[in-house]
Amino acid sequence: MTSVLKIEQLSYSYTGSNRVLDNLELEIQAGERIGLLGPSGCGKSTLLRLIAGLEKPDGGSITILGNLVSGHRAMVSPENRKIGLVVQEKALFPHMSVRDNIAFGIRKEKRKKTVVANLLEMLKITSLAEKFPHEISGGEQQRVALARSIAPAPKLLMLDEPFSALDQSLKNELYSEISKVLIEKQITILLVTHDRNEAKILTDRQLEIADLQKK
Amino acid sequence: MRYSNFSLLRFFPYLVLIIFTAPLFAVLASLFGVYSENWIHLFEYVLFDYVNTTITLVIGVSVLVFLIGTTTAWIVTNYDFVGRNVFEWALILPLAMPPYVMAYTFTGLFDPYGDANTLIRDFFQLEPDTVVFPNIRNVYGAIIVFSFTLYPYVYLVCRSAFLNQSKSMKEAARILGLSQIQVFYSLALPIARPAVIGGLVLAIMETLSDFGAVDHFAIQTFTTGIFRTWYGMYDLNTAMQLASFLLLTIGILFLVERSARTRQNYTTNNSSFSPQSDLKLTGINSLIAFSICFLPLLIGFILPILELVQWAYQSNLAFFNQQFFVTAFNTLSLALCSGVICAYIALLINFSSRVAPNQAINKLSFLLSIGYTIPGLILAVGLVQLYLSIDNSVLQGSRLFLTGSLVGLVLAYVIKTYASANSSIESGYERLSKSLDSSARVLGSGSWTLLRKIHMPLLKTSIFTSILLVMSDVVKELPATLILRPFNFDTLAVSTYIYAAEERMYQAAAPAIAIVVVGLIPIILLTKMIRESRVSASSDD
Repeated sequence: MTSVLKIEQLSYSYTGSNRVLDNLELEIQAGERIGLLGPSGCGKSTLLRLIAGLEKPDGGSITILGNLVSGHRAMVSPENRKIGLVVQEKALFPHMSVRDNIAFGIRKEKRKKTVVANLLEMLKITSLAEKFPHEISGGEQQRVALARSIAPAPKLLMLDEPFSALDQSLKNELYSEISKVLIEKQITILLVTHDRNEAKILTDRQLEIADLQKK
Repeated sequence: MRYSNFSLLRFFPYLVLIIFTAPLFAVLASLFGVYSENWIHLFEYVLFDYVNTTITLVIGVSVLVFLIGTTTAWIVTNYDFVGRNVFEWALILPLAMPPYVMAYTFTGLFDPYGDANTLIRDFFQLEPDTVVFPNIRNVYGAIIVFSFTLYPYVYLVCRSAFLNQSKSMKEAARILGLSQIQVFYSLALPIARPAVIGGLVLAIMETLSDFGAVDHFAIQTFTTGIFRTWYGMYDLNTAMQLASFLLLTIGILFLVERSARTRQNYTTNNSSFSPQSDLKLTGINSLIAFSICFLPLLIGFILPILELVQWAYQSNLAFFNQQFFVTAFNTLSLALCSGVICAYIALLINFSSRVAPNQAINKLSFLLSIGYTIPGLILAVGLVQLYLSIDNSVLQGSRLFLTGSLVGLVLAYVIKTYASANSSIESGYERLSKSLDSSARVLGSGSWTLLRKIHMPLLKTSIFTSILLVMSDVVKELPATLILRPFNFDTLAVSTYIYAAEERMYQAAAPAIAIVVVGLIPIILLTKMIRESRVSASSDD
């Protein structure tokens, strides 16, 4: 099995405050779906930002598909890491239609039309294709955000509390549909959440972030 | 809550509307009048030049203002580098510098025997006839002058648009394959487009309105053309016909700006995601960011100030004479008078629309603010025409009551600066809960008591701010003052203009410095807001 992500001795602290992550170790194999649990403020989101290259670690290293992307010798920029990230506030581009949002990461590729059409259908949002983000509901926006992240076929898809802003019935509906898509696409997943139930539904293996750090 | 017995207040906005728009109609009416020989002469020989130069000027200024305003705004909102905290507010300082003052200092610096050329000749021991800097008394020099004094209009709106753009959206774009620079031009800029257009239009309107700078550089634009037609050919009617064309262009820009402003909400996309500190730049990158932000500040503010100080020093501060103080007193009295009148009108109109809401006046209220878009020169032309006809018809020409009077001049200032006063009072009223009105009403207070005892004390700061904003605009206003002032009555702007026209730059220094100092007042208020906006933006995160 290939290792998609390997994190060794990762440490990080915000300027002027205590260490959030200390000596963290984590390895994810291709096709694995991992849920990362922990209370708020324990550094879950920070870990995803470090993996995405949005933050620079204080120490340790991050390797994606065998390439060192963060370490004292290297800092690969986010656009060159080939990973996906879905966050709670969706972060859709307000001036683009749903279709253009989804196509954004593959705008230069020839297969873009087919990929977008396929994802629109899979996530049941074909009817929204020409609408703008402010014209659709929160749950629909989250489907678009997910489709946009899946479109470039990332080697690793990270989900940062993606459903926490939605109500329970909407969550239940999304869980079953989304886990179907994720399994079908065989995407390697790293989900961060404080909801144990959500992690169980969407992932195969659940880890506590505290257990990943060496005492 | 409605107040029924309120007819006076209800008609007040209409009265103001009629007075404010009358000079515009006076100018536009000339289009339907007789076209004299002078018009034919203008049309055949110079109109094309006016249009051509004006278009060149507008295009040049738009491009430069866009580049400077958007780049500096992007850098200070996204990167952490040496001096960022200072640049964030200092970049708007050039707004305190009226383009005509900058034009005077620029010729003082870059003319063949200007200080910059002399300094370099002396330093490198060059021949006395060596000229290092190119001639700036042309349309390209004017483009530089306007761009470096007006870019803050674009900077200000872009900065606030960029601060409002969600960080997680920009991060999503990075993860989806955009570099930091691509995020700027293919995401942040398109989203901020309405704001950018709004800022650009303001800069263009200021360029079209200017008279002092283009006159000093002897460039043929619409405003210098109108002035010459009137003062050179003594043909007010043709001057008004020429002004009408400029006015129609500005009218279109005014509508563009308004529609851009209403679409700005679209750019707001705040995020609750906690972003870490902005991208920290070090070494050469920090130096590049510093230079990009420092250059506009240097050209638009530091250089002109240094030149003014140098003139003041050369004249041994002899300009602090009685004449200067009389001029300063004249100016400040006029400014204060206009400020108080403007604030009072704005207060009454906003009060009226609060207690006696009226659909029609709400729809027309934007016309009250139209004065800020009208070049001072055109306003003056329209007012002179009106004043002459009122004086001739009402007073049968026995004496001139409005023409060349302080009353006439103050009215021009009030029309021109009403928008500044209104914006402050309007936003003050927006923060005032309507339940206060209901409580006061229930406790038995009538409308005037509500205004005097409740609203006015609570809006103290807004009223004060609006008076200050108007004062600073009035002090800078040149062409309207030049035309409408009573005989031998000088203001700071007029005396700067007269000294500069006679190339007596040392004497021009004192009034020019005074104008810049007064111009700094609203800038200081703005910088305070900018600092606070950064604090609240980061606490929102």
